[in-house]
Amino acid sequence: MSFNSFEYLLFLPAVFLLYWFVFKRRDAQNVLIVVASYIFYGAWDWRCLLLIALTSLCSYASGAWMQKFSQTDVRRKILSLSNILLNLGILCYFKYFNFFGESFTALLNALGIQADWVTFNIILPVGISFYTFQALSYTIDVYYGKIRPTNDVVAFLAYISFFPQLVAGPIERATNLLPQFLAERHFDYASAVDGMRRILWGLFKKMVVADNCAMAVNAIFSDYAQCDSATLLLGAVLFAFQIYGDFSGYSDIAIGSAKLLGIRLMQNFNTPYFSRDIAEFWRRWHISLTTWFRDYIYIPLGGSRCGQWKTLRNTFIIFLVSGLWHGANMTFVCWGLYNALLFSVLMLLGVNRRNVNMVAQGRVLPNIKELLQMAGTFLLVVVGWVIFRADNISIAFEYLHRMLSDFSFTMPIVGRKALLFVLLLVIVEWLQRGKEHGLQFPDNAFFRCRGVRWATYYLLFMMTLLMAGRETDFIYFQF
Amino acid sequence: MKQFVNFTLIFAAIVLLTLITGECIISLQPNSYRYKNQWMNENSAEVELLALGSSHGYYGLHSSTLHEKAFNMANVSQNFEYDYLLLQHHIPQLKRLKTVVLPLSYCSLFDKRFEECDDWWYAINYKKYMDIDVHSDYSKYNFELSNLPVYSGRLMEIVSGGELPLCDSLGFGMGYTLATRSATWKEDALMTVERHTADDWGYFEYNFGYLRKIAELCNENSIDLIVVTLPAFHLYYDRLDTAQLNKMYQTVTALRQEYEFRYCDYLRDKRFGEDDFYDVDHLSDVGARKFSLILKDDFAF
Repeated sequence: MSFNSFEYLLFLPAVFLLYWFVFKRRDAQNVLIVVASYIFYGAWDWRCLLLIALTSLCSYASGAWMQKFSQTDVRRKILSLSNILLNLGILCYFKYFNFFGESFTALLNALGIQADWVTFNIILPVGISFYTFQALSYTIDVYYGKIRPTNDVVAFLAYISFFPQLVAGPIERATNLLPQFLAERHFDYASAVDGMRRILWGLFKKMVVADNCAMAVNAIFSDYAQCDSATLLLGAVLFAFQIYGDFSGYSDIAIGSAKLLGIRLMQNFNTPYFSRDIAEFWRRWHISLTTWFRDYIYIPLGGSRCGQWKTLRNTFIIFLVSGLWHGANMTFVCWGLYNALLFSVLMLLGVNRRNVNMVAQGRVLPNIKELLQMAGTFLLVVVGWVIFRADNISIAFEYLHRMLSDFSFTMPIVGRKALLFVLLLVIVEWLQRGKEHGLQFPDNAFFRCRGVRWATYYLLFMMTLLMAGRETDFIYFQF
Repeated sequence: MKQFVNFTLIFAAIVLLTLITGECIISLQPNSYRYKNQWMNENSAEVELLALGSSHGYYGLHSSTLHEKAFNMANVSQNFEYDYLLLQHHIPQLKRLKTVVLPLSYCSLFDKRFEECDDWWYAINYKKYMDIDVHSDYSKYNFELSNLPVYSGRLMEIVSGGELPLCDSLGFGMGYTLATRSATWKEDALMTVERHTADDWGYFEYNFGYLRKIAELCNENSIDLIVVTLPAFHLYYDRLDTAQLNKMYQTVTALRQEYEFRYCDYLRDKRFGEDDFYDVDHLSDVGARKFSLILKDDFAF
């Protein structure tokens, strides 16, 4: 069941009404969340429910068991490691088995050793990377004593399977989400209204911006060899907005849906395309994943406090893992390495934390320097997205070569409509930068008028319904 | 919470009202399906020749050239099932009907059912405007709203004052002219053939079943059935899958042993040049008139 489907339009209100009007107690609400989440997830493939149940119960059991041993007891370490290995094993089997097997065989063949690999037809459970990371977060936090293991199995199942963020994040930490399932929830009007606004904004980003971009992007990428450089550049730029609209739109709908149920999820995007350098971009893009890698890989490896070379090594490791996390394909690995390279340059120059504040704070427009910085960063990001989007590495390089050589400007035939929506998105996001989402209205007399707000909702909703592109799956479901 | 639910319901009601208004506006607009149904209800007693089929027939069979009392009931993507349903629906009133011209295209026997593919929304037109009641009044096939992209496209056309695709007074599809032909019309040949070539022949029995029913219905009512394969551009027919094409020919041959009808294949007809085509598998309005004249001579309508 996808957020932009008719089924979800019925599903969410039904859960909302049952949640607040029928299941008023915390325990009952948690049971409802688990049941609703399993229905939501089972709508894709009921067999995957077994997998998520296994991940949840093993992580719950290992946490509960760890509680019995002292912080220094070796059995605590064994338990935590076993659960981490189990979860990573499941993830690797379903996501990377064929990739690593085939890559290993290719390597052996390149070395002149004849080898063969049996490729299995393995289904990829939707959102496996997301909920696995959430389970890992719990186990690691319990091991380090950052959180007390819970004895409430229903609350824990709700934490792992919470339907708004189950299949594409934000990847929540146990320290943030689990306590919310253990506490009583009370309906908050302002929060629910904000949730609805956020869902609407997310739907607009997905259905109007991303899906319209997708039609042009698919046409350009599938026929890139026949396109001129201007069209290829347009294709790359539109893909940047497709993936942003798609993924941040999903996050907005997830955060909004959770808000309706009184649950607060973390911010996942913060106007990343207004970044002035790559380091800033990565602080604003897929925040829940980048902070996960920072907290559970980068810092345990020593972070940036262990000398320049080790810091560089750690940077490359997390970007490589980040690339692999996206999928079993060399394009993702190269995309990760490309970003690591860009990030490393800033690190070596010691300027990776130069831009931590919002751009043009207190001003309506950016200055020339900021504008050039944003444009430069965006172009670097776009090059990365071409690598990310291409079917394989050679196509990516050919696409980039054609795009960057023999540049001649001709107005492309495809993608004009999508460009208009992109422009609208950029304007709204620029005006709303620093806010959580595009529909978080400024506190002024104009927007205090209910008529103005309702007219905005109405226009946006009708636009979303009537100007939506051809329905496509959310890109991040495959990860 | 009550206020939140109330406001949400009010907003939903406003949106719903807008959508229903849009549904009414679209439903009241003229379209070729409604026109054809209305025309048939009023004039079917006079019709002597009826053309059926998909877009190949819609844009390829020029009614007034074919016969002075001819009407074109073909529609874009219309398959044999809906050809049959339309014929069956109108046959009690078609007192003077002598001839049915039915195009048989390369893909006709292999196409999926509307209801099982992306083109399912075509079925809305038959339910809503042509009185073909194979679907319930409460199903999605009774509402333009069921397919939002098409719904919004039609609404936008109306709002912007653009012309909806219409047929002429005798049901022939307008708009496939040389002036509106794409400059790159020949480049789509491969893609078109790929689209028309079936991955599997799972729908053969379904389509063949309705072709048989049409032949049976015509024989029972002493109507002369003429099955024709319309001309196509060489870039199209040169690339066709031989197995699928042979299956089409074999099927016609076998069916002719069972039922009485005539078949003529114009697929590779050399009399048709570039200007006779709108794209690689559709005749232009010029080509349609030329083809209809040939058909008239060949079958002595």
